[in-house]
Amino acid sequence: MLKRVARIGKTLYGVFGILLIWMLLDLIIKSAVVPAPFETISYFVRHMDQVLMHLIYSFYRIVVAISASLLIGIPLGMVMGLLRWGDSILSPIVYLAYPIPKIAFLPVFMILFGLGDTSKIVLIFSIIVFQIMIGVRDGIKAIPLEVHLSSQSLGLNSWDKIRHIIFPSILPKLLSSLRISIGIAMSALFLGENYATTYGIGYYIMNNWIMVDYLAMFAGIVGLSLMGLLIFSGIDWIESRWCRWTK
Amino acid sequence: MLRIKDLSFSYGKEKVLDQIDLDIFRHTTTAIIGPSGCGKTTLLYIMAGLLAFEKGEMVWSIEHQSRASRKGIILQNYGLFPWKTVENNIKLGLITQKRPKEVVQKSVDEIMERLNITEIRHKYPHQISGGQRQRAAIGRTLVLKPELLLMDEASSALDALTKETIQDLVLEIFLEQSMSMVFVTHSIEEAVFLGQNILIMEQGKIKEKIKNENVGMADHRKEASFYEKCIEVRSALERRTSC
Ligand SMILES: Nc1ncnc2c1ncn2[C@@H]1O[C@H](COP(=O)(O)OP(=O)(O)OP(=O)(O)O)[C@@H](O)[C@H]1O
Ligand SMILES: [Mg+2]
Repeated sequence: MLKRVARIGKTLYGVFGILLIWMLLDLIIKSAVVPAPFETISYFVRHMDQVLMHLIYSFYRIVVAISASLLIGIPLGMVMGLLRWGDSILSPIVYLAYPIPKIAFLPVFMILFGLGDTSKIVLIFSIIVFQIMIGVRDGIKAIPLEVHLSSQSLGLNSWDKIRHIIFPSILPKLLSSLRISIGIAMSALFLGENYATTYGIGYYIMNNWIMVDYLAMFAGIVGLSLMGLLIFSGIDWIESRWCRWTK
Repeated sequence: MLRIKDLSFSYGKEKVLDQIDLDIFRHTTTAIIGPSGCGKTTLLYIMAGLLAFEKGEMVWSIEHQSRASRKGIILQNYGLFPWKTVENNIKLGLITQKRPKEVVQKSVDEIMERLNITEIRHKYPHQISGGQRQRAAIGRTLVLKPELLLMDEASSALDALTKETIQDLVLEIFLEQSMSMVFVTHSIEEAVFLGQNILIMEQGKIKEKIKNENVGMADHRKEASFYEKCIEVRSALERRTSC
């Protein structure tokens, strides 16, 4: 209870802090590019349906990309962590592919996967999946020898071992990899949504920029931030439920 | 129940165990004592089936062949699962044996009561003390009712009194269950208090076996015979390291 109060307190503090900085910026800059916070929020509320629709498109792309990354990244990361040959086959590829800025491949993805949602999803996927593979592999490699020995002496079979030993030991690293990569993925999506689509929060923001509708543009930015907050809170929530021991 | 003959083991080129001959009889306790690095842990791992040996023989004669875990080991640093509470650590072995839920819960409750860790059942290993951690590890192994209990320097990191309480507890459980026990220790007192057979190891060999009949005697630690035995073991240890 006390913890919850403290958490809500922190969030409120964050919100007020940002509003304050925003207000100061508005006062100092005195340009239409930075509209006043309350005007923006009121615009956001009044045009909620529109902003929300664009947000839902972006959210859908991100969620599909995260799910695909987990579905493919976790097993591959496990192969890398558990099997020696898996590590020697996959790690060199991952290490080379990981630092390449994937956004540069957007044109390639658009040619290969069309102009629709798929190319945007593939773009985000290509950003998140390597991070997840590395996180899972490192999580497995960090399991102490005694833990392996005691699970062996308790007579755990392979499935029990994956469920009770491997999975919980990779979860914290997995979630922090996800946190790191989602920030990058959201900015990539923002860029990707400026091509060949009229839906998505990235499109909404840039389009209103072109139309010199700064109020709408800022409402879009507020929406994008809220979506980021939502995804991050989701990860926090999973962590607080499934990683109790890390507290 | 376990006969080891002419068993050798090496890590790469380094010979760690050299022609070990050893008999463990039903319902007996055996202490292994010897300087650090002489191969005690390695020997225990081999008995637990966690390491494969290269040369020699290890023959089991156990009544309940069907029993899933005939031998249980408590590791030098316990090897508790950090992501499981004390209770769930203890439960895991039984759960994976697909026993009925009520049976599992009953055994787990009993063993926690016995080891006096019921109050900390919902805590994680990093939230409890060394002595509690050790009792949790003992519980996790004992709940599977092994016929042979292997313990690696279980109480080395504990203060003298906690150590003795745990020794008393282990002795009590040993006496009431039909179980055999092999334990590694650095403490001469522990070896004499719990070990009916005391093996002195050095550089991968068993150098001496000492019999010790008084295990389980009332007020054992205060008897003159206890100190005599301790002195016997001490001089055996010193004899070995001096040459
Ligand atoms: N994984 C390993 N790889 C290579 N050598 C090892 C390994 N584990 C142990 N050794 C070596 O084997 C020898 C015996 O080790 P062991 O752990 O059995 O000693 P110990 O008697 O249990 O010592 P301690 O009392 O300090 O626990 C040591 O010389 C050690 O260096
Ligand atoms: Mg050892």
